Amino acid sequence: MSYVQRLLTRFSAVLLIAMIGSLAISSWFVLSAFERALIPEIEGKSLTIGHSLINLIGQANAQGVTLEEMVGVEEVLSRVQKDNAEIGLISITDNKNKVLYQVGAPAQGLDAYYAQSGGGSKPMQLVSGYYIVTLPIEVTDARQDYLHIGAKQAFVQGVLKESLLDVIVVLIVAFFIAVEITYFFAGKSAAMQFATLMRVVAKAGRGNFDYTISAEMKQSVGALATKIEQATASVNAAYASTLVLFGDTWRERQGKQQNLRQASSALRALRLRYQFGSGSIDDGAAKLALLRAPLFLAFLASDFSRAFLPMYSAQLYTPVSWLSTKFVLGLPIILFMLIVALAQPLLGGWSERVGRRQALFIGIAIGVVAHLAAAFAYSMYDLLLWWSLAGLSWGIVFVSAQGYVMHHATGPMRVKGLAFFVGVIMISAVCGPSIGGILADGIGYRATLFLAGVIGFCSAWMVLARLPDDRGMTASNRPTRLADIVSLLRNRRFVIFLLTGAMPGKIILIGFCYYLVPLYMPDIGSNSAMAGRLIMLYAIVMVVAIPLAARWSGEPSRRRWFVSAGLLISGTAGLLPIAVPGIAGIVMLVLLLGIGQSLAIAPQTAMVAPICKKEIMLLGEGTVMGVYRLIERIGNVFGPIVAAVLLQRFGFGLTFALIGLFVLLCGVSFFLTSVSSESMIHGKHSNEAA
Amino acid sequence: MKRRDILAFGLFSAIGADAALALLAPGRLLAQDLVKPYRIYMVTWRGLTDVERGFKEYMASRKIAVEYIMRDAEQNPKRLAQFIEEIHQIKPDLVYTWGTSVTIGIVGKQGSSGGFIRDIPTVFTMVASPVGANLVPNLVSSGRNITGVSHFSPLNVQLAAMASYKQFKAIGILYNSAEQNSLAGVRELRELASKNGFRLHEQTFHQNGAGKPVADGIAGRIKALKDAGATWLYIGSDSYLFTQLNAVVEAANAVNLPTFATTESVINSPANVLAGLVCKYFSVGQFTAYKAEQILVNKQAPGDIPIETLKRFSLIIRMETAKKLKNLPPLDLFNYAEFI
Repeated sequence: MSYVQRLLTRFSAVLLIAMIGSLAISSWFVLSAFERALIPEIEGKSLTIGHSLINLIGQANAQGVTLEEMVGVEEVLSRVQKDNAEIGLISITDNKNKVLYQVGAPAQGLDAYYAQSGGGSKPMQLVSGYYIVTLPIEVTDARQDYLHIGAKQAFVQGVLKESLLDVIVVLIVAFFIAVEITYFFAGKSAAMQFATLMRVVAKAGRGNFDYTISAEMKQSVGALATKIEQATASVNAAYASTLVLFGDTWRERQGKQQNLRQASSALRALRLRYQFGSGSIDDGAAKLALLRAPLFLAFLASDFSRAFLPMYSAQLYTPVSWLSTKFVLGLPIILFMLIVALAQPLLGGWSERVGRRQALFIGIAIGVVAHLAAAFAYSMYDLLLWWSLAGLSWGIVFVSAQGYVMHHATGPMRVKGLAFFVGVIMISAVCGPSIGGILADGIGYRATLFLAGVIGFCSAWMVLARLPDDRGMTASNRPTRLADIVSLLRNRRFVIFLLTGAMPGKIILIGFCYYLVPLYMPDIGSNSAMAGRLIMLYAIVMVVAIPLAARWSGEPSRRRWFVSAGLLISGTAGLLPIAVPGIAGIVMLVLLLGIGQSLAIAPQTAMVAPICKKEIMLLGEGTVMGVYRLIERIGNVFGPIVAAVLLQRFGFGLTFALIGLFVLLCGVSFFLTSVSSESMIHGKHSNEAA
Repeated sequence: MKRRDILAFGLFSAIGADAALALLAPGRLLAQDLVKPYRIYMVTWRGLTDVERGFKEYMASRKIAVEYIMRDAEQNPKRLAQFIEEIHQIKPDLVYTWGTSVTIGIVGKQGSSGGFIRDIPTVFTMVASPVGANLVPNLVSSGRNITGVSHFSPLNVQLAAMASYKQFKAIGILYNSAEQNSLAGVRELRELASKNGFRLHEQTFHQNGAGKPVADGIAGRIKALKDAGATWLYIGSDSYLFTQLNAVVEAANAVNLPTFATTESVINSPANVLAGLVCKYFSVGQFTAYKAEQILVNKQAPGDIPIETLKRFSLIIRMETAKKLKNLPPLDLFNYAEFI
């Protein structure tokens, strides 16, 4: 690590710590302020409810009906309790502290509290799990009757827990965004330019003078860069003039002089030892850094709606006679995934022809239109149209960003570049659904979609303003043809691999995370914010576990173990909602699903090459991987389809379980079938060795 | 006082937002209004009611100058023919008819021939069922030179009001089987009973040899309804029943069978009816005047003005009876019911 890189790392670390620290402190303040404000808020509401009840009792009393005579009092109290989620207890006691009417769960210790009633209103007290306010029923004042209204302590705690979770989510998202911002500034900063300049100097040290220094660099690094440029220029000029002098002399003397031959071989040696010229500095890393912010924003915008799209569909639901309700709710995601899957192989060549920057801009712009229009969607039908556009947008952005990375990250940079690309996707998966869920619960689905459109707009602007124009590059990959797919599907081992490993993995992932979990939330008394947190939890598990799993599963013989284990764990996750009811079961499901998917992803991809050895020789690795990805993504499409069909028939618990069982079965068969294929590979190897 | 304000507000929304706005706007005075007031020929069945008072109050509040020509039929159909003659002579700007009998007597059933009023626009009021009485083909447009206001709350709303006071599985009704109006009402109740899943127990008044209803055996018939399991006695629109109201209600109270009225005159009568869902006559009159205004001032053809009933009704409870019967209304009803 160079001095400058160390400096940069330290600078980023300090920046991050400062940001996270201040965020954590301000979150703490927000939370405690919220807690302080919540209790009086609840007291105020209880009082309002109490006064309106007393007013009603007063009206009956004015007609000469006494409290004891009143009919339907408990019905009124129950209705009030039902209309106000936080109210757990309403009771009326008389002057002998006898309970005349009561709704809600009675608790120990209430009698003692009633006994000390009297003497007018009392401030809210915490009694046996209720925040109780007591009001004298003034209309019957002479009798000293009291109305008691108890807000559930559990409700207050629930609200606080909910906001604590929100704050944690915001903290996590803030952390990742802070990282992004650091990269953003580091990419453009003088320090980065300085790092590039240091590489230039290091190159010069190795005898390479074949470069020019950009005006941008001279501007930010200043006199030093100019000095270095002058030095390089004078070396290059000296070499050039030597060449000219030699050429002239050579022609004059027609190569007859002995010392001229010596000069010639000396020049040849010089050329071997040093490089001269005016080439450009390789700045792939800087170009990648430019992509990072706009790409992050584009994916973030698209991830906003993950946690609530099925709920939004339910809001717009229009019956389609030949489709079941649940299926219609899944349709936007199904279409999205289908278009993403199909767009990928078709768009690769197009994005190269028009230029990555243009393609990226067009993709993001389509996304902006899709999100803004979806925010104003009139019915299910136009939402489907807008969401198909969103799928197209995602596909274009993915393909062109991937192409951009592959183009600018060459050689040893490539692995790093792809890691960067996957990293951006993962981080937006952490931040997008969670923030989107919180926003949706706060400002509504439509406003959140609108905001996603605005963020997409910023991203599109950054692409236009910052990315280099790279039109007219030669196409590197030929598009996938149907014939390629057909010839690959003749490989039986590959087909079994897809059917038992790749596709089930995607079916359970998309079916659960993007369809069932968001729809399941209201069933267990939760909301879109919770769905967002769950998807975030999944993404965080992935961020942590994928690199670990990739490292541990490096050994080829371990791969099938990892993939099978991944499938078995994912499948087991599906059994949890039935076994553990409520939010706990779904949290465990998401955790297990994240671990299962993380275990399988890297080794599964690595298994494609040995299985398709012959096809790779014929078609090239790019094409084979393209087909693999395409079929894997078809699994994405089937996820919500399978889930919707099962859900319509069996309800949530069984649907989770059935998909889980299916994936468990796939895990077992994957293991068994991959045993035979492994032994085949080994058999082949030993034959070849013989 | 407070309750009255709320009712007044309810009335505005009942009349319709446009009318309510018009009420707030300063009255429009046309040149001809200053020169000549509108002449309205009012025919009532048995003297002045709150309906006419509501009508006049509305006109006054809108600063519409009106000259009223008041005529009372004194429950005598023969007098209506004389009124028709007079109307032809003095040619008023509008004719107002109170109740089904007067309206049929003045403008005739639809498609009828004879010397009925046709060339002068007519607003009717207090007609329970304008379609059922064969005055108009439907409520959207009369297709004739008439429009008007009905004073009945829809039957399903009445049933919901009864249930909000006291849930029921069966209700009873006593009616005059010789009266078309009553038969139509009973038919409608039967339909709702089978649709909403409650039982309807029916008793008819005893008839003499000439087929006329007589008051014999009312108490026995009421007791039979109670014994059959009726929770409420429904007092529908039945002219003969109205004449025997006291006897019927006393019989019901004697066996502790709550009674439910559907018109203001019944609940306001001396008979101790327990409760009722009614259109206030005063409000009906105001709404009728609003229709008249559309014809006179806005120059709309009566055939283009829909026939409507008020959208807000008053649930009225006679607290004294409730206490006597030990049948107190549930606490919830104190939110919106009126007590007399």
